[in-house]
Amino acid sequence: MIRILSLAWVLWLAMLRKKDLYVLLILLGALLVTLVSINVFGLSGMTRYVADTGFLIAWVFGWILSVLVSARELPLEQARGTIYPLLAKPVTRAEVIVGKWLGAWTVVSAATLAFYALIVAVVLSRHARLDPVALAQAYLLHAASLAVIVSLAMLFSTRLNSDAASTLSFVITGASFLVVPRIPEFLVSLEGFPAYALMLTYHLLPHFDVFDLRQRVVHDFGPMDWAPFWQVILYGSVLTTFFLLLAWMAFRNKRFVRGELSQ
Amino acid sequence: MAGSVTGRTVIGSGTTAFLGVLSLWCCVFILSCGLSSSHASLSGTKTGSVAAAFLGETRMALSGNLYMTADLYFHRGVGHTVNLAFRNDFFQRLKGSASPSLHTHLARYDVSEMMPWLRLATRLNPQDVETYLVTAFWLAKESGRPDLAIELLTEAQVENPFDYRIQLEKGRIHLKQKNYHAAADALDAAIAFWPSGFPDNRDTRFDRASALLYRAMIDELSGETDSAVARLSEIVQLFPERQEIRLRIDALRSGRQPSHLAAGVITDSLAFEDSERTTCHREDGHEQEGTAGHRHETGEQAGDGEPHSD
Repeated sequence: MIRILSLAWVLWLAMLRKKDLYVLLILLGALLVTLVSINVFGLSGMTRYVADTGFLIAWVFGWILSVLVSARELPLEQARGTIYPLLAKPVTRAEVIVGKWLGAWTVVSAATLAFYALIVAVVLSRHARLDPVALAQAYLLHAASLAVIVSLAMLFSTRLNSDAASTLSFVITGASFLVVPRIPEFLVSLEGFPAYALMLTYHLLPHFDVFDLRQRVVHDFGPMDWAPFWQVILYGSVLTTFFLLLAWMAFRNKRFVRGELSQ
Repeated sequence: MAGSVTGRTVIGSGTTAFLGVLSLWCCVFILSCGLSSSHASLSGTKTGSVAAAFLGETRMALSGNLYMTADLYFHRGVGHTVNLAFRNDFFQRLKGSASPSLHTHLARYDVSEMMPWLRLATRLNPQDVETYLVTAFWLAKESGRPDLAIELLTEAQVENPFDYRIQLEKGRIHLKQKNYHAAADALDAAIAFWPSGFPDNRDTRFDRASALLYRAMIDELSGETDSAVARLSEIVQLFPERQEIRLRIDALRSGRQPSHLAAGVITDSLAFEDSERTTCHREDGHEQEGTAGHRHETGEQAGDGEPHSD
């Protein structure tokens, strides 16, 4: 466990040195300030559009950050040659996978928490409030979805270079966000092979829409029931474990050749 | 030799840099001239917006999307019901728990939450009069700001000078404020501009009849009975089945006071139209467009069941 945490901490240090997180945070802040400065007929007190847009941007940034951070870790280690001293240490390949995943996930989750804090601060500054329990649930489910994305990107990065892993991760997670929830609607007018293909896609790809609680938070529906909440957490945990297991299976017998460029 | 080569290299790189900066400056200068001239020409165009010029026809799609977002906000984030090949599987149940699908509306004091999206929609597509009308309706009614609604409609009028619907809506708002003089001016303009290029169908005739009815009631309040009778007669030509209008005309011609006073007719008609426009026509299992307050989607329902006017 110590070794896993050490690997995660190394990733944290690397991320803190980079400017990515700060740039995204500043960008989000700038966007929120722009939103609140819109003159809407001189009326005041409207906050839902700020919260809604803010949370949407937080989801987009979290998605981008998850893929970029996790898809480059292993290829970067290989490209720099640091994978050799790493594997020479008494650390198993499974611990490397889990440690890298843990570091990437916690970094992205922390960044997402900072995004949420900024959004809540802006909403509170306009004398409005968001249900704290619903907000906490929304954040936890968001973090669970990020765990799945990080593990998926990590899986691809075990065998592909960082660009290919990133691209494939973006495509698959993008399809999961945008296409998968609408498959039942598409199937109404399809038959035969296209319908089978869509059904296969529906069951193969992750369902990120079940992690999305923005509507509840923004439109003040209150927290969701705890039973389905824990079911979603369990679903996310199972998916994450599955992808990490596949990543370990892909990584454990991988041969590293000195001088081979991975990036 | 090496020094001269170095000298040539230094001079060459410096010249290159200078030419690069110069060409970049020229490009920026040309671009700024182009933008300035296009902005100047745009001030004479209908949109008058540089953003609209950049976006082109995309702005209409964006504006429509923003309008639908306002509708989504009115329904607290719940989208229209769509046909699905299957329902109630594991993921759909989880999603139903995460994202409610109840058919509810914003509470009265929350209606202003729609306004940012409607404001953006009007900015992107100032020729979409329906968006202006819906926005003005909600500003006047639930947000309690008829002054802002009139301002908005004046802005719409600048972009769409001869659209009768804008004048009719202004007339309604002035009537609610009991500004009969301003209402009369707006209603006269609405009647004059009608049909503004729209087809002569039941919906547009209903609008003309509304404008004529309100104008006739203002005439009655001012004691101009002949003018009121003329306008009411025109309503009967549009809708011969309106017996209550015929009875009112008879009463006015014979010098009798109608049983339903003019002020009451105005109040009742406005209340009826408001209730029609705030009725949500979204039904489960059917896709319908538009935010409540947009009567024209109701089609068959428009024009039926007006309150008695005598």
